[in-house]
Amino acid sequence: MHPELDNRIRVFRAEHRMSQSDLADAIGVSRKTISTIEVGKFVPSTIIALKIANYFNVTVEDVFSLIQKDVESP
Amino acid sequence: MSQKNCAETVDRVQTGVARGMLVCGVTYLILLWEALTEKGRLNEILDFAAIIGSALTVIVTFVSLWPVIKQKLTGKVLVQNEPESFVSGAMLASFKNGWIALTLTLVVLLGTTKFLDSLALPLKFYFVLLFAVAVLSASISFFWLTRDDDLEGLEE
Repeated sequence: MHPELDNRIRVFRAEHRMSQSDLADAIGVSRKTISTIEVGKFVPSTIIALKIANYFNVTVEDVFSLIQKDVESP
Repeated sequence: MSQKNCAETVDRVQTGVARGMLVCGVTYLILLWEALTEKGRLNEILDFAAIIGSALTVIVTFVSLWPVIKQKLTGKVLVQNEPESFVSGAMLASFKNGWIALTLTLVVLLGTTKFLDSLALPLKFYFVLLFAVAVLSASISFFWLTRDDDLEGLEE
């Protein structure tokens, strides 16, 4: 998992009963790209993030979010 | 793969090119070994292996690039440019790693110039060495970065 970026692609895929290959075909990327985004190995570009969000008809923030870290105040 | 999705083809082309680079790198290693051996049976075997390696490099690279060549010849778009992909990113990172390996090798060679002078090896030897380091480090780095891990498999 990427230390700063979380995503809910797997959740949306499950809701739409889609495989990684189905989603990859739908937005025009390879299955490897989807699988590596899901596990946080690859941080997608804005274009891919928007394509994924558009496909599921949600906002980018619904799919991707920053992992909140507790920062100690001085 | 669907007709609409060319991304898998792009990934395959890039993986094929990396495979060609790996075969090329191994071939150049054989050439280095050949340069260090005396004329004889082993030298002949290495010479033959280098010829086979060169032929394999051409075949692997040509087969990998065939979708792109076909596109250029026919004008029919088979491989579209992806906005970006994991494999494309890994290829760029591998070239960067190859450049680092090449620079480090040059630093070592520069640092040992006096010793290397005493070996009296032909200049060609060092060019072959640098080329082998460049393509081998880039291709090995590519296959390391794009290796499948267990977590990805579980997500499907």
